[in-house]
Amino acid sequence: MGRGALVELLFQRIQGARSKHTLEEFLAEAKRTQGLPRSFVTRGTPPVLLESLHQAVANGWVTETALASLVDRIEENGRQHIFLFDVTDAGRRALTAGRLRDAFPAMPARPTPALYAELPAAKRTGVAERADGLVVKQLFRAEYWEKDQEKSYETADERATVVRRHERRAINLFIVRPEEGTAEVRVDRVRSQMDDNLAMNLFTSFLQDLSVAVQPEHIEPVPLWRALPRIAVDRDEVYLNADDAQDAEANLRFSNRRARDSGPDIRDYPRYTIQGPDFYRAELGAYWTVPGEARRVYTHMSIVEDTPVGRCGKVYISATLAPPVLHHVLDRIRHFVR
Amino acid sequence: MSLIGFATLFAEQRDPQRRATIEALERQISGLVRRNPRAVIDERILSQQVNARIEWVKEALVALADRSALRVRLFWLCPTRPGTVLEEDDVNDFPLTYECENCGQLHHFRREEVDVRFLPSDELLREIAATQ
Repeated sequence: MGRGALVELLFQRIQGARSKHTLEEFLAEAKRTQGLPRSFVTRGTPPVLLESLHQAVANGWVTETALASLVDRIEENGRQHIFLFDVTDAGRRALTAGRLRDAFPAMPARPTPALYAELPAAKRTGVAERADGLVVKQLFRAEYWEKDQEKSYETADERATVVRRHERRAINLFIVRPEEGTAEVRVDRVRSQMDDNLAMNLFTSFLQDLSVAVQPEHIEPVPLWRALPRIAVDRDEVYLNADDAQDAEANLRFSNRRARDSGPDIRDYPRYTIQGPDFYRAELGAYWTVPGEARRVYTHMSIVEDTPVGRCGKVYISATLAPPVLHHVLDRIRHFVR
Repeated sequence: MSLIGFATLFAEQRDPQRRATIEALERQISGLVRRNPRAVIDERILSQQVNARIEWVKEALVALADRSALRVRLFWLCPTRPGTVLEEDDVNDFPLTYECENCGQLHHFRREEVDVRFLPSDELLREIAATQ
């Protein structure tokens, strides 16, 4: 595959992740920091952006490796189900760079077409040492079934539902930060919605693949169930559009009539009553205010009772986020556990 | 009868019963908006509160929107559980699909799932704020 073909492949990954704006920022940054010609275009339609990319790579202004790093950044941060862990003492001894390198092949230093194909030919699991930690990355082809909206129909006398199998490029990550004593398992959401059944199947499968190096005694789930009641009362950085809980007698749900964060926080509703230790939340959808960010970040946090590593907390993030923003949100969630 | 739109509507109305309804609507809406400027103005609720036929209450709300007291707002309701997927001023502004934060599911836009309701206009909000 020629050089231009790899650039095109990387561009398709960015397109597939609907991250045109991120690419435009990347090109603008390159233009600014390297004093590129005024004629170098950094915004426009997809064909225009692809042409700019080819130009940038051909002139050495942008490398394929840098472009691949951009793709990684986009694909690895958000649109995931994230499970938070603390590393145990046994884990600190076992989950070292050396041991992980023994268990998994190194991720290629340079991007290859196989790594960035729309549908990976085979499942690949590799390890890399990065600034943000030791990363075991798994690239695979995920499949799911979904209703075909166009072929399904309903008339006065007949209904037919057609369900079609889909395949999609997917990425799982195991990230361990030995100095911090923390770890995360990030499972690709695969579909354009939160599918907890699919998530748990992929989580279980990924843990199985990791088990050559990562054992249950190495990592301990962060007790998200301690955080949810505290997050639910925070007014400094958390906005709630809705809140669900149950006590010994009733199930309660309060949800804003306004969409997303258009309305007042639901806790300001005069008849809101979910307060105090009598109420249990199995899940919480919270919008996080992140310093420097114009939009709040939405997370759906839930408790999963029965997993291969026991009771777990799961953080679902539907949006693609810049790494520092995602790290901030996950860090804040951890904060509320303590 | 002092708020924008209500006075005009009241003056135009000859039927004493409907005049009383307009007065009651003004009290309810101004009270609601004072408590929550972002509240949804819903004719089903108002109809119960002011004890008037829902058709006429809706007619009055439409008239108030024409007189800049209210504005129409469209709410795409989540088909899975109580809540709102998105809200827009124009039905053509809704996307074909959207991942709903209310339930986590991907919804395909259907006009049947859109509720037409009202919000206070900026003019009404300013007027109410000035009297507080």
